[in-house]
Formats: sequence, structure tokens, C-alpha cells
Amino acid sequence: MPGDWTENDAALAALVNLVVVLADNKYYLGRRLSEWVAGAPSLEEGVSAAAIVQEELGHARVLYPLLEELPFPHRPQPLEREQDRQRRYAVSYVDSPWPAWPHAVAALALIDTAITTMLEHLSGSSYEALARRVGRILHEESFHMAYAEGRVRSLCETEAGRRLLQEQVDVLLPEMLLWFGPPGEAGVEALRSEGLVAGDNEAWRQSYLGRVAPLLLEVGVRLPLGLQWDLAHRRWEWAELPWERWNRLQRRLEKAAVRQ
Amino acid sequence: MGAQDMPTPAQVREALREVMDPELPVSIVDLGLVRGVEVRDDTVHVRLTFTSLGCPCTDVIKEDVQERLLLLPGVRRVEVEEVFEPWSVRDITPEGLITLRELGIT
Repeated sequence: MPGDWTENDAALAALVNLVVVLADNKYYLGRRLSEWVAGAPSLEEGVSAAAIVQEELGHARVLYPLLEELPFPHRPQPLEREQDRQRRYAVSYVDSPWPAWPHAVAALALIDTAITTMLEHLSGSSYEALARRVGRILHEESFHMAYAEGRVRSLCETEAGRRLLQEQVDVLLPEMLLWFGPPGEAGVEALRSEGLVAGDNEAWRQSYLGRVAPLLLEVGVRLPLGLQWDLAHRRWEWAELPWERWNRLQRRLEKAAVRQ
Repeated sequence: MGAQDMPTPAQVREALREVMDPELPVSIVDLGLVRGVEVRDDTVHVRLTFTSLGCPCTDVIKEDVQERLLLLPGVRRVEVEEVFEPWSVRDITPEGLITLRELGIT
């Protein structure tokens, strides 16, 4: 059972939110990718995608029970089916079935890697039940990252493929940068103070970019938002992120308001 | 029923050799899934890991463990705890590897 930090309401609320965000993103990533198992370009890619789907759903399966264990009054319900809960704690990119394979490649490269980056900062969490699961999940994720990188390289072997991936990176990467939250986020500070998570919003974002940006640049995909490496400060820099459309509770980008 | 009537952990492991993985003709012991056995009063506590967190057979294996161990004399309760320890082919016993090789799975 959890330790003294359960008395810290801010930390507990942030932890419940973090668990459901991780689990929902795993769940919807698995669901969306499952719809492309039969539509992958090759048999080999389809079989590998099926294995990843099984593991992503498995990761959601072991994360959701933590919600039952945490002593918090308003815990979101675990998902078995998409319609089990109206409020989604997953990025908007996984809301609907993807119309083409490059969407799946972008999601594997950018969403799965973001979740893995976050999990790496939870492997030493003072919430032991979470840390134990995270260790096992990360063990399985190494294959996912290799697969995603391979699919990115394969897609970008042709100009047409690179163009299609570029379109998805332009849409998805900004949402994933938002996903790590604004600098100094109050809930994150509460988690840090209790040893529940390592790093902070900005460190997670930099760590993520350090992993995905070099690959994208190497295969000829341009980085959106004017993203570039600041050599002097040894960090990634970018233009403003659309925080006005960021839903901080559900950690997702809301659709732009339609002008009347 | 007294504790002296209960099976030893070694006897529990022996019984678990009869619980087969639903996808492979190898017992969960030889597959390296059993990570601990404790016997307390009339209760047996088994710690299990799985080949993958997305293993579709977790519920079946847990039920099979329950069913088999409840047949042991003195056992009234079986607790199956899913632990999240990593699993790899290195966890398979020599006996398990021989069976898999005979099936052409290496």
C-alpha cells in the first residue's frame, strides 16, 4: 500500500491523474493501432504491430487497477470498452480511427515514445506498486521503440512517404510537447516533493525531444514550431505552444473554436 | 486442520508442474512463471509473472492454478498474486527447453 504521501491531497490528485493519463493513452494507442494490423504495408509489419497492440493493451490492463487502490474520491473508471467512460484522458490524436498507415507510424514514434519518456521518470517512484509495473513495461517497450524507428525510416525511403509523415508530425508533435505540461505545473511539483516522480515538465520535454528530434531530422522530416537545438544553452527551443487549447486535466489538445 | 497436514512449498511446486501454459505444452513451472510459493495455515500464496503484460492467458492460468492447488489435501484457499518481474527465455528450465526444441520452437 502507498506510504505517507497519501496524506498529501495535491500529490494524490496528481498521481491519480497521471495514472489514468498513462493508462488511457496506452489503451487508445493499442485500440487505434489494432485497426491497422491488417492494413500494415507488409505481413511482417502487421505481425509486429499485432504484438505491440497486445502489449499496449496489456500495459493499460496493469495500470488501471492502481486507480482502485489509490484512496482518492473521484477516481476515473478503468476502460474495457471505448464507451465505458465519456471523459478521455488521452491525446486527441487517438480519438478516432486513423485513415492511413503514416498516422500509425507517427503515433508509435511520437506518442509511445512520450509515454515511455514519462515512465522512465517513474521507475524510481516512491509509489512502489507503480514503480514495479513501470519496470516491466519499460522492459517491453524497448522493442516498440526499435519498431517505430524502423517504420519511420522505411516510410521516409520515398519522397511521398516522407511527405505523408511530415503532415502527421506537424499535427502531432505540438500536442505531444504540450502533453508534458507547462513548466512548474503545480501537480507535478507536488509529485516531485513526495518522490513520486523524477524530473519536471521541462526536463521531460527536453528528454523526449532529445530522442525523437534527431531521428526526424535524420530522415529529412522538418521540425514544426521552429524547433531547433540551441547550441549555446544545450537545449531544444521552439516558438510558442498553443497552451490556450490545452486541456490540463485530460492532457489533450482541444479542437480550435470555430469562429462565428 | 493443522499446519502439519498442509503440503510443503516443494509439493505445491510439484503440483504446479501439472498446470500447463495454454499455448505451449510446457508447465508454468518449466516456463519460469512461478516466482514464489508460500504456505500459511490453510492458504497457499503463489506469485506469478507472465511472458508478457499483454499475455492473453493470464486469467486462464490463474484459474488453472486455483483449481489444481485446491485439490491438494488441507488447502482451503489459494491466493494468486501477479508480480511484474521481467521474463525471458533464460527463465525456462532445461526440461522446458527440450520440449520446446522438440516442437521446433527455439
